[in-house]
Amino acid sequence: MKATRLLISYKVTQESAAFRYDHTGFPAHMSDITVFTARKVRTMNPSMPETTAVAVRDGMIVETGTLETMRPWLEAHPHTIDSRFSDQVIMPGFIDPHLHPSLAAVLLPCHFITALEWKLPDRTSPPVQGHNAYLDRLTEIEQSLGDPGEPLITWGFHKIWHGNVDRQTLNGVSRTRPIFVWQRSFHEIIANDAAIDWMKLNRDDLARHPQIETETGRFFETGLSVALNGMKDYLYASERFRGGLEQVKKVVHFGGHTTIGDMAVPLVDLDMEWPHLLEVIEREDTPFRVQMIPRAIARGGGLGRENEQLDRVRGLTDLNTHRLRFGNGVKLFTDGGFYAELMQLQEPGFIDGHHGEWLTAPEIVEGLARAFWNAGYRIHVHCTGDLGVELALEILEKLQFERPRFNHRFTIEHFGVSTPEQVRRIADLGALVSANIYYLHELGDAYWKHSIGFERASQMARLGTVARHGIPTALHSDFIMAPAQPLNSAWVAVNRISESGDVLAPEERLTIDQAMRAITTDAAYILGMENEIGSIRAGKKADFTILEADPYETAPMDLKDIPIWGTVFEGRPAPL
Amino acid sequence: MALRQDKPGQPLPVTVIGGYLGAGKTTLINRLLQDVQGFRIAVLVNDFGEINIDAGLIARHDGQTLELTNGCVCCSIGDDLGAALAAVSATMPRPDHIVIEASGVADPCRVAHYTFGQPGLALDGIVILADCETVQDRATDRFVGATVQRQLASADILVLTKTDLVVTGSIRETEAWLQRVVPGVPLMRNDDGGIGWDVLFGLGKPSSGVDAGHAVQEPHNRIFATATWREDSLMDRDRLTEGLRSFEGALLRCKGWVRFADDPATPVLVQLVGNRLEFTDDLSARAAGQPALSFIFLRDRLSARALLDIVSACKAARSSRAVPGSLEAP
Repeated sequence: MKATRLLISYKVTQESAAFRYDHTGFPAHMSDITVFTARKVRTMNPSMPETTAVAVRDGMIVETGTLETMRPWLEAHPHTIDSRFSDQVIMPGFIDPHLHPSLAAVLLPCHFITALEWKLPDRTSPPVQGHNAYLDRLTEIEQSLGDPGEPLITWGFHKIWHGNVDRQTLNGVSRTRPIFVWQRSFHEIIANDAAIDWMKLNRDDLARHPQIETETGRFFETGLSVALNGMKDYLYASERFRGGLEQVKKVVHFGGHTTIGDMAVPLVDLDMEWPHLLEVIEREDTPFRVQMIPRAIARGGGLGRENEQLDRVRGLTDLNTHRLRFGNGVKLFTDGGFYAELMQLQEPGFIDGHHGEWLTAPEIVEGLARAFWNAGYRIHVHCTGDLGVELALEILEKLQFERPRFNHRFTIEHFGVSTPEQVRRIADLGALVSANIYYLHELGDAYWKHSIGFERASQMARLGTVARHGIPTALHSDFIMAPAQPLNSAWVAVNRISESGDVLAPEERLTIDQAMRAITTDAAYILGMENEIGSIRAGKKADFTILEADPYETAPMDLKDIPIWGTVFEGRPAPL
Repeated sequence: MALRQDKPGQPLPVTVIGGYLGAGKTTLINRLLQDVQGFRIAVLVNDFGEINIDAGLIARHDGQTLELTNGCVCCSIGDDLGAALAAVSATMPRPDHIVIEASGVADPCRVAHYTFGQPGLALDGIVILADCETVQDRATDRFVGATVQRQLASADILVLTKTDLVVTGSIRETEAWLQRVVPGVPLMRNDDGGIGWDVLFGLGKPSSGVDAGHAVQEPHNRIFATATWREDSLMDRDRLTEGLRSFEGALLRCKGWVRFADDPATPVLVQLVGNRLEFTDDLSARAAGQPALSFIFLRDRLSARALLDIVSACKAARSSRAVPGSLEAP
């Protein structure tokens, strides 16, 4: 009994006898089975870790094994053998559960001038270090722009690597073109005179602002919002945002992702962002899906009205499409940003004695966490400093005491500074960790020398301790805070090399297997999608990342350089 | 007794109201909106949902803005304080005063900085509310202690709230503690129907319009008194700075203008709000008539006589005028 051949799996059709029910509940004819063969398949299923072939039908994995072990299936159904990957290694499609597509859409159209190399699909931003090198690169970009009136917005500048760049320096690059230098950690913007004029800001008003330096053209802290306000219409223009999202799409594919988590929806305004997301992401040519994790609170909400937030979040699942899905997750924030040194720290705090900030008042974090905990949600909490982690764990312990839950998936997001005792407590309370390990590479040296000292800086993102406690862990990029490249994140986790080449806290290095789990199975677990994705086994989605080399047989230092052929998304190959 | 400060060219005063969650910011704002005494106030709040106004007072309500029949407007800050501030300062007719509610975990100084980003505004002062039941515990809480201490340190005026819920001895203890932690900042209790808008926001003339030559002036109320000093003498800049700062929290407000001996041709506007003192050269000639300084101060800590004597002692060594003006005091 053979099924008739059919091309598209999601439509209802009339003909033959053999059918099954597809995801819409309608009977649909099954396509033929496609068997992808490979040099090796790393399944990430410990029960059967290595195979050489995967049989796929209608976007689902039918079986993995060898052509020999698959014979019962192949003899029962029409099939084709697809051997294009026979020299490559197939892994489960990579998953980054925490990045921000909308924010990236605003920033990617800027010109990157970065101290460390950034590989993007349409350009590689080479490492630029030193004051003269920075200015040379900036001049090069300025001269390459066709339209003389077009503002030049560049991102990636940092005084530590690029020296002192100010208004006069930028005037030297151009007196007529508005130039905006957006600092790497988003602390400040430096503008030339043409840029100040373009923003139509009155210089006398600028002069009285305590956080704007008219002499140097620096707009920082609250002064930064003055500059951003002047750039707002340009930055958020529809066309530009849409173009930025198209770039994000390429970046996600380029990193080898088949699933990502948008870990704070919306960026600013869902009504503005959603139509663009739909248009760019919900398309046949998009080889990945996005789990949308909404903010538990729109800005400015108060205590005692958590039910309003709960209702709002519940209603978001009505928007779901095939690739853009709200699920059971919700996002809370405790302390400030890591790059901005606004994390909340326990003693001894920062070397210079400054204090971090709370993005949300602790009482409000607790009130919201309680409401969503009691409603059965999976809670993700941004914590960058160990006092932020402490707050999250205090809240979790209270909630567990009030209403115990198994399998709750409460996740500490970012996990910058923590203590070993907190890791044990995370394990005791059943919480999970999703870490921005890239902090260690780019900030390890700077934070050792200028921020919190060697002991705590070297131990940031103490994933070795986390792994020893058996805590499911994901690696994320928080793009564009770090490159959206899971193999790069894995490389940092396995080697713990700072930007200057030192190994920081070697005891906290992950093994290659642990790092691979953190970008596949455990990342899926943190998104609550472990039954559908994250490993190659019968019944899961046919999402694969195709590599030119096997990470398990690659020297740890070379992990980040393994070339990626592309991905397979729901059974469809998508070469880079 | 409504007074408009509607002179075009004069900056729009802004007050930041800060303090931790539960300190009473919303209660104060609700009271302000209900009873504005003829002033047109624009209030920026974090959360509309907590504003509690009699429906009869609401003229119009759209997503971000609430317009009241008394001429006040209340706007939700959303995520962009700069934009909200720009919008509210452009409303017509022009507000008399803008009040910004800082969030419970915000640094009020940072919020105050936003006034510099918007042309035509001037910071009047930062008023910090402290819940007398909880402020000491909160200031030493391991999570929010540093935040609360920073808020207290940013105060130009400190108001202790919820004093009706706590025994008097305990209030005094908290006041003593606050005076140690943030010395020199005027501290008052928000009981008895609350503190007037003239003290908190500098709205309206503090005195009942006493002219030169009349010596008697009624005390403002049980807690505050007012006095006015008028004299054509030149002042010594350093001495006046020191003098105005010498009252250790007993002086709430001082407003007016003087001339200094080091620059007799330029009138200088004087504005003191609690802990914040500013001298501004009067380049747009807002000062008129005779130099004068009006004061609001705490009656139980300072007498008008003592106050005016201290101000008089700040005159420059040799006055350019032979005839002294009048001194007025209750």
